[in-house]
Amino acid sequence: MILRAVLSHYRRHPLQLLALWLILTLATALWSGVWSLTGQARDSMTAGDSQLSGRQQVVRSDGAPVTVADFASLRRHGLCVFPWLQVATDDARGQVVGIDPLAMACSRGAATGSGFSMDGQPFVDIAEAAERAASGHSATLRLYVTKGDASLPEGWQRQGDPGGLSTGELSDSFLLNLDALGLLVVLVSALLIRSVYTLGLAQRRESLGLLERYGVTRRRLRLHLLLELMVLAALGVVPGYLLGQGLADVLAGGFGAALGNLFETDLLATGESLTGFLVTLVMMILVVLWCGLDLLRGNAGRTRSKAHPVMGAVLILAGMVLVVPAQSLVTVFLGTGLVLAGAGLMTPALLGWCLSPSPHMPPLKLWRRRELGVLAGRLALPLVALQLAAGTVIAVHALVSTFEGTFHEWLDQRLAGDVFVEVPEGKPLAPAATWLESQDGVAQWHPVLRGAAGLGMNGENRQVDLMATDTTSTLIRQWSLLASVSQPWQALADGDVLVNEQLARRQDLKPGSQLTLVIADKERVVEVVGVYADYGRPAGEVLVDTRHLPDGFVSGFRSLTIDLADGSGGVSRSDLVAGLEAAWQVGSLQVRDNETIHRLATRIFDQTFALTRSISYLTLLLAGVALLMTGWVVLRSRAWYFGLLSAWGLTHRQRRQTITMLTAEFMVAIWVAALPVGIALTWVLVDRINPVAFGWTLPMAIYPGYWLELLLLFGLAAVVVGWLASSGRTEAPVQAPRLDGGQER
Amino acid sequence: MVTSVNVSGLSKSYNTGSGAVPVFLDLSFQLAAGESLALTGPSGSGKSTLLNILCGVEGVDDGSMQVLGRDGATLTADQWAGLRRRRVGVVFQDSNLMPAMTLEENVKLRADLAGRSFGPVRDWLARLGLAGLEQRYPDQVSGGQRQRAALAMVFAMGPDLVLADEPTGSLDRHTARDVADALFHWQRTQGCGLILATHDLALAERCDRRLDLAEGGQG
Repeated sequence: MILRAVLSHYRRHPLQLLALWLILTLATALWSGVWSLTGQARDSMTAGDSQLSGRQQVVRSDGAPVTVADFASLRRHGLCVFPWLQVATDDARGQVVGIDPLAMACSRGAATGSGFSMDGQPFVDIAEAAERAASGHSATLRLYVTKGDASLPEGWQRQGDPGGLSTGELSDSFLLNLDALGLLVVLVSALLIRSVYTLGLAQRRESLGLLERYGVTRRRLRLHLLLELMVLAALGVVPGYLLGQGLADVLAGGFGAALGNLFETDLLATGESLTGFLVTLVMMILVVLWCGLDLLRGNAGRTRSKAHPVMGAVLILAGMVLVVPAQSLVTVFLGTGLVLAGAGLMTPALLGWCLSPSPHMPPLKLWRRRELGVLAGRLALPLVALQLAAGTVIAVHALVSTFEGTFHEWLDQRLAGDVFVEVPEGKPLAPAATWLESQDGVAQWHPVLRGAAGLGMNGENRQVDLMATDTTSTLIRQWSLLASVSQPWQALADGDVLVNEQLARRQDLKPGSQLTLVIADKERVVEVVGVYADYGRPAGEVLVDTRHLPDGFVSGFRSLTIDLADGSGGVSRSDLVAGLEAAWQVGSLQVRDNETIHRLATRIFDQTFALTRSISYLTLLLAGVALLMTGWVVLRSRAWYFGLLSAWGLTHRQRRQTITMLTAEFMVAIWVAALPVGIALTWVLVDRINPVAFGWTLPMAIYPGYWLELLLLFGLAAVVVGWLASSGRTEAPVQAPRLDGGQER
Repeated sequence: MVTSVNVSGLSKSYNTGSGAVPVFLDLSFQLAAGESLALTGPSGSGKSTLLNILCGVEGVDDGSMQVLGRDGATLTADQWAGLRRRRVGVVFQDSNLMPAMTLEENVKLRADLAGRSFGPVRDWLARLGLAGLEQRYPDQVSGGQRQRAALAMVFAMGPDLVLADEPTGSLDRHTARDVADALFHWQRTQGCGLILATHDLALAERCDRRLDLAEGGQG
C-alpha cells in the first residue's frame, strides 16, 4: 500500500515517468553506442594501420589474442616471425614497444637500427617491456612477418599491406581523443539522469512529507524510492543497450563497407558483446547509486549551495595548475576533469549574476530576467550538462576539422609524387638514377635514405632517426614547415638541417638553434633551419640533404619518390617498373602507388571523423532532449504566473513572444557558457593531450561559423520550448496554483 | 443609469465524458458604474466561471453581455486582453504576485502594463500598510500582506471594473476585514464597479447587491 502511495505521483504525472524511463534508456543507448563505436573504430584503425604499414601482422583465425607460446609455435614451423610487445607507460612517451633484437633480423632493415634503435623512443628490449607489463601496465602482444614470407600454418592468417606508410600514431592520437570524448559522454549523461530524477523528486516532496506525517518512516520511504529507481533503470538498460547497438551498427555500417571495399576483407567487428553490456550495466548502476546516495542522505532535490561558485573557481584554478605543465596523460585528464567540474559548479551562479536585472529596466523585461534567474537555479544540472555537451561538440568539431586539414596536408607532403619504389637490398642508386634521368616521361624524382644519427646536446650523445633526401626537389620544397628561418631550403641544401616537431619539442630546438650532428662517426655543427610536422611516429628525426652525407653512411632503408609527367609524354607505370628492374637487374620491386595509399588512408579517416561527429551530436541531442523535458516540467510549474500575464492583459501573441524570449535568452546564455568550455577542451585536446602522449601538437583553431550554427540550433530549441510552454490555455488562471514548487522564487 | 456590466440570458455548461453539465442557465443581471455586487453560492455554482466569462477568458453557450460598454459577443481575444490590461482588474484568492519579483516590482509591472505611471506605486503600498516591505518578495511576507499588495496592483492600474474571486478566502478574519476595508474604500472613492465572488456572507453583505447563483441568479 505504501509503495502504491509512493508511486501514485506517476499516476498523476505519467509523462514524468515516461521522461525518466526515456532518459535512462537514451543514456544507456548512448553509452553502449559510444562503447561499441569506439571499439569498432579502434579495431578498424588497427587493422587499417596494419594494412598500411610495412610489416604484416599475423593473427589467429579464431580471433584469440596471440601468446608467447604462439610465437614459439610459429618459429618451430619455420616462420621468420618477430614479436612486438606494446606496453603503456605513465610518462610522456605514452607507450614503449618491446622488440627482440634477434628476431628483428626477420624484419627487413631492422638490423641497421632505422626506426628500431632500442633507446626507449619507443623501442626497448622485449625483456624490459615484459617486466613493465608484469607490473600492471596494459600490454598488447602482436606478431609480425615480412611480406612474402612462407605460407602460414593452419589456424593463422595475415593482414597484408600495400605500402610503407604508417598512420598508426595518428590513429592512436585520434582514438585517445575518442576515449576522452567517451568519458565526457558518460559524465554528461549521468548529469542528465540525475537532473531529470531530482526534478521529479522535488515535485514529490509534499506527498512524501504527507506519508511521513502518516507514520511511514523516512528510511522506508527512501528504500521504496531507491527500489523504484532501480526497477526503472533495469527497465531502461536492456532496450537502451539494444538501441545503442543498433545505432552503432547503422553509424558504423558505412565505415565497415568502406574498409571492406578497400581491403577486400571484413575488418569491422560488429554485433553485441557481453563485455559491452556489462560495462553499460555497471555504468548505469553507478549512476543510479549516485542519484540514490543523495536520496539516502536525504538531500535530494536541494537547491544549490552558495559556496558552489567559490568551490568552482578553486577547482578551475587547481585544474589549470595541473593541466598547463602536465607531463602525463593522467594529470591532463585529472586537471581537465577538475576544470569541467569547476565550470559546472560556477555556471548557474555566474549566469544568475550576469542575468541579474538592473532596477531601471522596464518591468516586463525585469520580470523576464527574474524568471531567468529562477530557471538557472532550478535547471542547474541540465543546464550544466547541456553546457558541457555543447562545449564537447565545439571541441570535437574543432579537433576533427583541424585534424582533417592537418592529416590531408601531411599526407599530401609525404605522398608527393606518383610512385614510391623501394631500392632493392645491396643495389646502388646510380643505375636507377641514370635510367630515370634519361626518361622524358619522368617529371621529377628524388631519393629518400633512412638511417641513424647521433645528436650532441648538452654533452650527451643521443640517437635519433635520420632522413636524407635531395632537398632541391620541388616535391620536398612544397612541404609547409611549422617554423623556419628565412630561405630554409637553400640553407638545407647548404648543409644545415630540419628537425621534426617531436625532436624540437623534446630538445627545445627552434630555427636558429645549433646542434652537433654525428653521422657515420663524423661530427659537424649545424644549424636548425626549420621544424616539420611528422605525425607518423613518436621518434625524433633529423632531415639532411643527401649531398652532405659522409662517405661512411649506411642507410637502413632507401626509396625513390617518382613523379611521372602528365599526358601522352608520361611513361607508364609498368614501363617504369620494368625500366628500374632492368637497371637494377632484379626480378621484382616493391612499388607503391601513392594515390591509392592516399585514398585508402583518407577514406578510413573520413569515416572515423564522421563517427566522432555522430557521437558528439548524439550527446548534444540527449542533453537537448533532457533540457526540453526538464525545462517543460519547470515551465509548467510556472504556468500559473504565465497565466497571470494573460489576466493582466497580455494577448496570446504577446505572451508567447514573452515566454519565447525568456527561453531564447536562457538558451543563448547556455550557448555563451559553452563557448569557453569548448575552447578550453579544444586546447586540451590539441595542445596538451597530443604533445604529452605523442610529442607533437595540432594547430589550435577555432571555428566561429560553427558556433553560429550551434546558436541557430539552440535558438530553434528555445522556440520549441517557448511554444510548448505558452501553448494550451491562453486564459487567465482560474485555480490557486498548486503546481509544486511554482511559488518558489 | 450608466452600466458597467449588463448580462442577459447567459448560459454556460461544461462538457464532461458523460455529457454536458450545466453551470448556470439564463442568467441575467446588471451592474451600475460605482456599484458593487457579491456573487454567492456553493462550490461549483459557477462563481469563478462567471468572473472568467466577464473578463473574456471563457466563452458562453448562449446569451449576451456588455462589459464597460463593449459587446462581449463582438470582442476578439486581443480586444478582451486590451480590456483586462487597462480597464478590468482581476484579484484571485491567492498567488496574485510574481514570486521572483518584489512587492514594489509587482505593482510597477501591473501599472506598466496598464500604461500608468510608477509615481503613486509606493504611495499605494504605504496606504495599504506595506511601507517598508516594498523590497520584500512575496514569500517573505504574510498572506494578508500579499493580498494587500495584490490590491495595490489593482489600484495602481486604475480600472473601471474589478473582478475579485474570493479575495479574502485564504485569510484569517481580522486580516480579511482589513483587506475588504481597503478594497471597498477604494472602490467607493474611485466610483469603480466591483463584482466579488465569495462564500463569506459577511463580506457579501458589504456589497450593494448580492446575486446567489444557487438560486438561478436572477438579479
